[in-house]
Amino acid sequence: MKNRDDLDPLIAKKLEKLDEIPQRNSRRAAEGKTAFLKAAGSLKESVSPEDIRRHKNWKEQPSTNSVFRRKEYKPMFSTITAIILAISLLLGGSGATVAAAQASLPGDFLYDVKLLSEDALMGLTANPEDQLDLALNLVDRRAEEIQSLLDSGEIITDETQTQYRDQIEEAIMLSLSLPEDQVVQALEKVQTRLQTEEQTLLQTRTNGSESAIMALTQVRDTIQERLQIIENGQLNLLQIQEQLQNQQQLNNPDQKSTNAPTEAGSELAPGTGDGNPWTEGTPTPGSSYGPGESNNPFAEGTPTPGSAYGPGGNNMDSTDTISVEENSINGSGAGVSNGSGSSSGSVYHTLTPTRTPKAAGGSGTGSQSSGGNR
Amino acid sequence: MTAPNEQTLLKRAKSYDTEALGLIYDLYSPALYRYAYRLLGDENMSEDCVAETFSRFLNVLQNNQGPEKYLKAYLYRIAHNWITDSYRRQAPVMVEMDETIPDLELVKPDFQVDKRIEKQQIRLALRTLTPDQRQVIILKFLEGWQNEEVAAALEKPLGAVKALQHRALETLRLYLVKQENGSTL
Repeated sequence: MKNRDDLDPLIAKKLEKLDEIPQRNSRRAAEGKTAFLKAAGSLKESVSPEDIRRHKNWKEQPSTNSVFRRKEYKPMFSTITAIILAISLLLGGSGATVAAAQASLPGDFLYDVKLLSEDALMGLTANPEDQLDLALNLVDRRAEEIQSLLDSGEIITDETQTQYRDQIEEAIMLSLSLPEDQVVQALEKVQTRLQTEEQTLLQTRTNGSESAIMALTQVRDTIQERLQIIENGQLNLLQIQEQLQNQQQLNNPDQKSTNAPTEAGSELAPGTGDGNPWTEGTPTPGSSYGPGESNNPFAEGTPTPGSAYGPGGNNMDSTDTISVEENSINGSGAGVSNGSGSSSGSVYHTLTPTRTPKAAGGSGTGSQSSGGNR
Repeated sequence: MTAPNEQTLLKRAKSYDTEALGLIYDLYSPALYRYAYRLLGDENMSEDCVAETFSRFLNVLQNNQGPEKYLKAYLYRIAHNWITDSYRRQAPVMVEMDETIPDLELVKPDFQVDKRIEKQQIRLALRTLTPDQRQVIILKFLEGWQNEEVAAALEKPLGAVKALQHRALETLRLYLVKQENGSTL
């Protein structure tokens, strides 16, 4: 019994001590059984073996698997996502997005990001010359986008053409904001770019659709209009510069080749212009063109005396304002033009940048200089 | 050991057959209680051991696990692990006077005290063994199991069980001899 026959007597004797077991408490035994069966019953209600097998059935049945896919249906997808996310974080997150957006075209999802990044870059550029260079590059970029769209046979929307036109105008405006001695050069730069782009567009092949040909024609018209505006504006500015130089030579015979204003200008009496509308609200009222009090050597003998530059005082520190209005090539704007009352003069449109030539012949006083052809 | 009956009970138990589970409880809980009491020497802890053993058994059924056969050996293994854990949780209980000893004429109080001391001494001797050695000694020499059953309970080969038994008996003998010599000095 109990395998103790061959045991060491000492061990057998000691183990016999443990044979005596007190009677188990029947009540506690019954309670234990009741608790056990109750727990088993609750498990039977809540969890059945069928529920466990159900998941296996889903995996095994292709018909249900195609509709109710498991979470791990594409385990590699999460892996690839994690890799892409890690690379994006390593490359700088949003920086990667902006970089990816640079190749987008109008209509693409990231094109707005591209425009925003360009605006941000422009905002971060402080030097006006650098701003102009950046604006010219953006003009090229808009043109390239249009060419890409035409090459791929996509539609050139009005918005795309508007963006291109706005970019050209921004470049022109930035040119005019440069110091006077750089304006003409800057405008020439814009002109060269536009001419190059026009030639490129001439060589661009479309898919032959009517909309593509129309869009290409409209873009070319836009370029030609702006080229015409720039050409006229260059003429005006050159004349203005010549007048400025002549004025300086008269005031300072010793300094023949400088555009810088001299102190003599301040000694002259201010003009008394009565009505150049373009000078209203300028920072230096009274310095604009118009009939002034003193003799203006340049106002005399002009084709239409007093029309553009009225006889005014010799104020060298005058300020003029260039009014920009679209389609005003043949319109007014004589306030800054070559002195003829019916100038071909205002180069600019829509926007009204304020330019401050440091000397202007025949400048008058007052913000209400005549301007001649109001 | 009735293997076919065990397998039938196990199959029914896995579908939460209340009758089968009740039969399993009635069949094995008294033996498990004795087994626990021999090692623990405490009625409450022995009941706790039985309750926890069957609770763990339900858990493995719920997880669609558990034994395919040798249910008795499986339950003893659960109980043995619980007892081993209880050894780790608490220090050995010192022998104390029990005030609830029945005051029978045939049972002298000093005799009862001696018996309890002797039981506690052998329990302390068993605790000097490894868990596997202790289980072999209890199952074979106190529960009267055959080597094959013990091997099933331990999930070890028969030869390993014999080796465990041999080393356990040697360790136990040395301990008891040393204890005897100490008490006689």
